[in-house]
Amino acid sequence: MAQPNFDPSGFYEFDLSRGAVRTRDGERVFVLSDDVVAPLINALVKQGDLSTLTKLGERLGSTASASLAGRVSELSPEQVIGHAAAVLALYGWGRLQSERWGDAFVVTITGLRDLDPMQLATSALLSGLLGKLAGAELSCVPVGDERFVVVHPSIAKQVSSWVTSGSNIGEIARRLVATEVA
Amino acid sequence: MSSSVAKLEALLSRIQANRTQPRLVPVNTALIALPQAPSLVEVEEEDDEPVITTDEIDASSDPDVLQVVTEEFEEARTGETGVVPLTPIPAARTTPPSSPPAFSMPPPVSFRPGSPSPVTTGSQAGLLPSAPPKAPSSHPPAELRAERISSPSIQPPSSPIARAISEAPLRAMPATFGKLISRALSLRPR
Repeated sequence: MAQPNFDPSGFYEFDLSRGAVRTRDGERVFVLSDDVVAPLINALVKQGDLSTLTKLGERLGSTASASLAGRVSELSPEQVIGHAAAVLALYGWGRLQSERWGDAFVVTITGLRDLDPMQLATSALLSGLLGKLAGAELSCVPVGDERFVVVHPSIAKQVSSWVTSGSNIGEIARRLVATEVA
Repeated sequence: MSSSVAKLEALLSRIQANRTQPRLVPVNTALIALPQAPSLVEVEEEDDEPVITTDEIDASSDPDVLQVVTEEFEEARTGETGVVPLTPIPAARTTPPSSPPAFSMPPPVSFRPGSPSPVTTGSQAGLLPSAPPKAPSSHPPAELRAERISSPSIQPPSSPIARAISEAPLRAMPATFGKLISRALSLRPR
């Protein structure tokens, strides 16, 4: 199986004469400390509007998609997740990994717990990221400390209620059944 | 004239006797400047101690003084009198220091996390970190673990998670990301 081959070299360009940092795609970015980002995230969570983080996730997904050769849907899961993980890491949004529990597709992200205790902002970020890569609308429901189960938005609320009632990832995977034959 | 020579001899004797006496430093300076400067060293006695002043005198009015001083100095410089050769005092800088260069913004710096060292297009290397940050691995850590649900090492067999895993059907990893997502989005509550 082909290995992920994301090239991080030259990803950022520091233009000191203009005081700007840009990615190699030309997008201007800002370097912020977590002391600044955490209050911003908390404010967004309190307002209940996480569209900004979803949009950020979509941008990261576009970057990851652009770094892949070929149609994303036809590439191996390892390649796609590998590139997505590399882009997330370059932006400082933790370490992305993936698992499969039965038919459930689960992603884990570490290194953001202190930044986003409720995992809601991270959920929005991952939903945007994976949704962009998949070309479909999806939801990443937080389960436990680091896991997010990828489901259709129509059942996200149901899955979230299972989590609230104390179900763990194994139990949630057992409660779900695929309606599409593999 | 003879009085001046005697004074100079006394001075040179004093120099020879005590080479490190701080008071002699100005004398050295004056002696070095003597052949070139229009002023002469005048040795005077105060309380029977020779002192040195650098009051200007007209060398042309007493050329013999200049001659004697020069000869004595040469003897001292060449070691005939045992005096350590004098070290010329560096000339004072007469040219004003150049004005500080105007501040100019450095050129854009290209930072490449994957390269072995930061790349700069200008001379502003000092603005860069001393060591390049560790580049993300070319093999990202993310990996799909298709067998994760059947791994007995996750939880003890008696745990709720292990029971749930044992009851969950094992599925092969889809070959493509599209199929993986499609199947995940087809999940519905039992």
